[in-house]
Amino acid sequence: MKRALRLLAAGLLAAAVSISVWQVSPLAKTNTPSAPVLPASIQGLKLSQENVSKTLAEGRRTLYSDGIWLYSLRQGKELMATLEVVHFKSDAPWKSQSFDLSLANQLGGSVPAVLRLRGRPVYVSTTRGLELLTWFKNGYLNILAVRSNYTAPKTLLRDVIEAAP
Amino acid sequence: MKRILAVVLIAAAASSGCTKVAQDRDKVIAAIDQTEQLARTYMYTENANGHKTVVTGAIRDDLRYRVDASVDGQPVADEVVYDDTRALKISGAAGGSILVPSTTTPTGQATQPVALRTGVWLDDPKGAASLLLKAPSRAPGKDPLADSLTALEYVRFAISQAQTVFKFNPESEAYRPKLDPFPRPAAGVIRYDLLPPDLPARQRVGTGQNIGVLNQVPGVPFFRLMAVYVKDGLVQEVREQIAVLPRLADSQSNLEARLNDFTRGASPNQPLSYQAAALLFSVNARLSREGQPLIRPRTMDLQFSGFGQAPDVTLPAGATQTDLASLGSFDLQLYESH
Repeated sequence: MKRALRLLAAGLLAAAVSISVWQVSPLAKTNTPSAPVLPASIQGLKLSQENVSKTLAEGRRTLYSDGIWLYSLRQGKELMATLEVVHFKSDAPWKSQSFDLSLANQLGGSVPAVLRLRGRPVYVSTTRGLELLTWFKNGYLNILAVRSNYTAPKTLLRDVIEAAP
Repeated sequence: MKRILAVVLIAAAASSGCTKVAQDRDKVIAAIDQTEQLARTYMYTENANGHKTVVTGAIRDDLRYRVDASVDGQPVADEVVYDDTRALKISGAAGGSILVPSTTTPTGQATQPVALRTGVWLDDPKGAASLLLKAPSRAPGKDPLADSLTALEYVRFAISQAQTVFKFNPESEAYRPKLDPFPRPAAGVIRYDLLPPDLPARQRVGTGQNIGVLNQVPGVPFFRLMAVYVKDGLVQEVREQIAVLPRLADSQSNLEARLNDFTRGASPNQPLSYQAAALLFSVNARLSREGQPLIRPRTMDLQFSGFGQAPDVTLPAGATQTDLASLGSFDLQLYESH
């Protein structure tokens, strides 16, 4: 259970870092979007939305995002991965490669490597027994945190990219 | 006043030249970035040590690809990576030296390393599960599959080692025909050349205690000639030649003038081919002592096609399941003279 909590904490930490950088002046306010609809399971892992409202309430600067959701992917009771989905505000420059790279650079404890999946860059970094896979799509930032000992991370990544907003 | 004007003009011209060079380098890097984003097929041909190695590749994306290698017309290695699954077929004697390392069974017993089976497809559903990226091949020749897959990264590295990158222009005063073994670009194709670094002149190096950085032994970048052909912002072809002779024949390189700094086995009176062979032997001995990559004369041609057309990449049917996860990227000895 401790490991599961640590995994969730790492995912949340990633979000906190990614959304609280740079911008000093606030961006235009937008209405909070609804949570993305994801399948009940991906690659045999049960997918559930986690309640992170308490943690988010502690955040002070949500300059670029107007919605954050965290999903757990479990094999039985064991937590194998988390998916964090962040919706950007309408005027956040998420299409800029340098913006994306700057965010990806702040995730994990290593300089991110870049994988290219169907023409989309996926930034790969590692932190404390986790692989962090980050990509930008349709105005969302997605961070898939997978346990390093998970045996099919690439298949999972491909399926999650398909399913995520 | 005229003098000031001249200085300003010279400074402006110089800075414009630097900017141009930087722009050309950036354009090649941008073309490499763009090319890597797309599904593509390629043919990688290397001539080295009297052998011709050809690798054909079909890349859907970084996680799904197929590569097939042959040496002197004989198939030697085929690999399919399909997300987490890796399938491998080694043919001929090349596979005999590859050992599948020992693994630990669920009961805790270590298995003995076994020789890789050759001539059949082996597959491992977890064989490509590592998210660690294939390290770019900076000293090609050990594993042609990896060399071809990381060839664009290799070009990036070569660019970082080159003196400059500039657009091919045979009319330019800076054009050095002796450093141009490559074909001219076809219509609509822009060729960019990597200019290798030159050696400092003998009088700049000094003697005794003054010998330092300037007297470093010339490494691979000094002997490398490379041209990158770009069309519509995508890399169409890369040509490379690593050879001693062209740099000896190129007076601007200062190599012939400094022959005795690097070898005692030849003199300027001997034929260039003899000097080149002696120099290669001596320089490689010094590079080896310094732990630097050795000069490995070769020509390489990398041609891309089928951009954006997702090639058919499927796992081979009837493969024998084998634990390949611990095999990693191996040094594939393809011929004895390597």
